[in-house]
Amino acid sequence: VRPLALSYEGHEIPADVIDLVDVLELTPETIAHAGGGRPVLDREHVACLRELNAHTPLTIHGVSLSIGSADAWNEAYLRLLDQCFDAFPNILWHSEHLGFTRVDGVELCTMLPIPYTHESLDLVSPRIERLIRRYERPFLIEPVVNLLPVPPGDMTEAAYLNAITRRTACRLLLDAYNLVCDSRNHGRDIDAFLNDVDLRYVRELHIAGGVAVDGIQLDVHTAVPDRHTLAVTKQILQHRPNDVLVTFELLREGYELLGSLLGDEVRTIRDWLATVPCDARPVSAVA
Amino acid sequence: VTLARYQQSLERALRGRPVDPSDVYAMRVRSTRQWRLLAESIRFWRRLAIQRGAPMTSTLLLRQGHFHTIVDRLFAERLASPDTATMAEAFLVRVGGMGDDVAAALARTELALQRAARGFDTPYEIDWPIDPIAALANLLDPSRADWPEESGYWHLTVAHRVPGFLSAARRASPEGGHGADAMNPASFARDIRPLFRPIDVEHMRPFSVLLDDYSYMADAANDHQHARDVRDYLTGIKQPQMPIGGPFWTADQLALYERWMNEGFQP
Repeated sequence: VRPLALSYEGHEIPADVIDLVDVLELTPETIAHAGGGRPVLDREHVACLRELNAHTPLTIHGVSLSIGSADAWNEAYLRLLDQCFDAFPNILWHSEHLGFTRVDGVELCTMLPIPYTHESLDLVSPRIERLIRRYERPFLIEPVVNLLPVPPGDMTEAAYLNAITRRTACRLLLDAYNLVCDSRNHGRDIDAFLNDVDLRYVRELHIAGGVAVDGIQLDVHTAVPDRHTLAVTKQILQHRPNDVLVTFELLREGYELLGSLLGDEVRTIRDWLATVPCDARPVSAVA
Repeated sequence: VTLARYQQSLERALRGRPVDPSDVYAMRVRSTRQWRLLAESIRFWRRLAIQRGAPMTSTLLLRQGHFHTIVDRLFAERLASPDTATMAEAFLVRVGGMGDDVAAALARTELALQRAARGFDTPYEIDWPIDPIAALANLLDPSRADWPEESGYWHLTVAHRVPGFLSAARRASPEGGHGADAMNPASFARDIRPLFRPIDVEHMRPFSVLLDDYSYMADAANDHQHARDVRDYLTGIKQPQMPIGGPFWTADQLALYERWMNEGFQP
């Protein structure tokens, strides 16, 4: 049975839903406040999550490291990670986005992709190695959605990700919904990407659903995944054995929108995952 | 285009500032509809962060139709912290200083409640023109409580040691001015600097620890390492506890120092 994770942002998760998931994905920024000039995890959320963590492992999925900022990444996020690893004994791995959220210390309030260049690769790879050395836990990197046209670069996204996994011990986190957004917004060729990226390094797969505004599909996780997203999910999982964790990402507001239907939706996803056959042959294009 | 220039161009463009015409990518994306949507999505995430961090005040201002305007103005004037964790606090401070008595009282109350919930011992005193308990109940669950009518003066105390953090009483006139005000943050010059004795300052100077120097104490480098180190020695988390030989700072003095840090290292 493929394991299923659910995102957690400090809100209450109904007991019947907790019973349906194997892992909780924590975004630490959502349970933190600014204290003493640095982000601090909220005590009550930590206490609540520690209870859950006794039975349910966590993955940590950050949004504010800004690993691709040319000037400097966000050191304050590392303080949060330190607190997470101190507070929660049962963490499988941590992950971040391959992008930037701040420029010269100014927060953008959005996440933008970095150009796939040798320069950015030389910047990001040593940072990833530092993270792995510092925490001695697996680290996954997630390519981000491209709302804007793709910036010019030296290589494709797949080649860039392959270079990262060759250079470092980093593993990959792919987001099926991101791929769908890029496909709808820019005509991205998902098949070509999946043929080119080395799927052997994928350890986690995000699924989500969102909304379209003004004809543009937005990466806002407020709904269950649609058929297109599930088809992409299946496409990836068919090439991977059962060690890929599938995470249903849902904003706190998405929980409120789904209300009592959430349990049924999670159960539906879980049942659907059980039907996805696994063909663990290597992907020929990569081999 | 280097990575740094690419990022700086986008950051300038997002702030509505001119972009170097030779940066072909930045010039091109600015004319796309995705760009407009990106700008809109940034506003969405800011509003969401503030609604999450200040739910009661956001709810009231949404009802009044002022929320979006206030948030947009906050960022246009660059008054909000770039740190997403403190956006809501900047919003509450802003609204707390506004002319609308109820919205201002609510923002002050929400800020004080957040600090009380985090264990701050400081009691906060806030005047209200309506019954604050009924107003808070309505904001938390409009289906269960009516919005209170204007009814004279109410005085609210918010403190960690008060059960439920809140205690309200009706008054004949506004009290004002008693106790700490969440809108009046601790100041280095007024509150912290006088706590260090001349001997403390002189004692630490040879070690390049400048206790009387605001720019040193509030230096943001390394996550405000200077201020945190001083705090850790004052509390005894780091040894030897300072001042060596005592008298050590009282709990109230340490709380004030902590409050100065939490309130943004004000000069």
